[in-house]
Amino acid sequence: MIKAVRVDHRLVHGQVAFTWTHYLAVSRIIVIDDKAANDEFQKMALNMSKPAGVKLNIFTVEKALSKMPKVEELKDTIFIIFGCTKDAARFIQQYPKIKEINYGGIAKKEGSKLYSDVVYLNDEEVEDSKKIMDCGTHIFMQQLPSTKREELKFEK
Amino acid sequence: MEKGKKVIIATHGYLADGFVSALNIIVGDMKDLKAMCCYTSPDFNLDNQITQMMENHDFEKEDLVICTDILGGSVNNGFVKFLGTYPFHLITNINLAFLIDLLLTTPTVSDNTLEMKTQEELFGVKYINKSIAFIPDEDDL
Repeated sequence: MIKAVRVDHRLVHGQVAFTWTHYLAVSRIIVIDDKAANDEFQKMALNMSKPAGVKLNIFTVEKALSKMPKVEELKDTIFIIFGCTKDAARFIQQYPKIKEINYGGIAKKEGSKLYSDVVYLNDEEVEDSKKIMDCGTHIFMQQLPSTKREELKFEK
Repeated sequence: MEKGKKVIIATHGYLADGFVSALNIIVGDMKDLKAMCCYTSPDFNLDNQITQMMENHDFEKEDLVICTDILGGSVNNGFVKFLGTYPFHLITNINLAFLIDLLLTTPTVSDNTLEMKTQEELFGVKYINKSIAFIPDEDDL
């Protein structure tokens, strides 16, 4: 069962590995990020830091899509983490079964605008987000279980 | 109702504040977590601070876990002296990994759970360059 879906530019880090994983009682984390999936050192770092007792997979968008029928059959409680809105939008357009997605952390960059404490979106990321919303997926922003949940909305 | 726990991090200088700052980022605000920064002023009196802390704690209602920075340091030594007087748990040589685990996974503490946790290999100091060869592979899917 897919318990939660998050976009976080730091992928699996302290907040995700310990706090969310514990809070959601996750048994498998699936990282979907083209860049990380093609970077041996990043994969190593993620595998090294995976929380005790939790399974971890790191896939490109393509690979993840091909695995979804199998993922749906798993008995695990699954936490999906995207590294960027672009990969999230590409994935959700092909797999529009995701009800909601949490923007947990998106880095500040040239030309980006602040939407929540740690969520900055530039024009491209806004476009990605609109694509995600068009699939019927709700976007919210919440860094930690104990911090506030905000809905992402764009002015028309 | 299950007995709750209160965790106090007691260290030389502002290390305790630093731990709390890091924990706030990773775990979020924890109301049952306090920092005790020792010797940050010349008139600091450890015995008085400990006595005051113990007298103000309701041991019937909540367990008290004191986490100190280093075995053999005066902060830990100071607390050891009170072990016969008050029923608190004392842990030393703490690190962030241990604290996160303590705060997240142990709603109630017992001698047993604390003993197990302090023996966890996961919380030890690691030389990452050498452990790279033993990184677990990705899981099957």
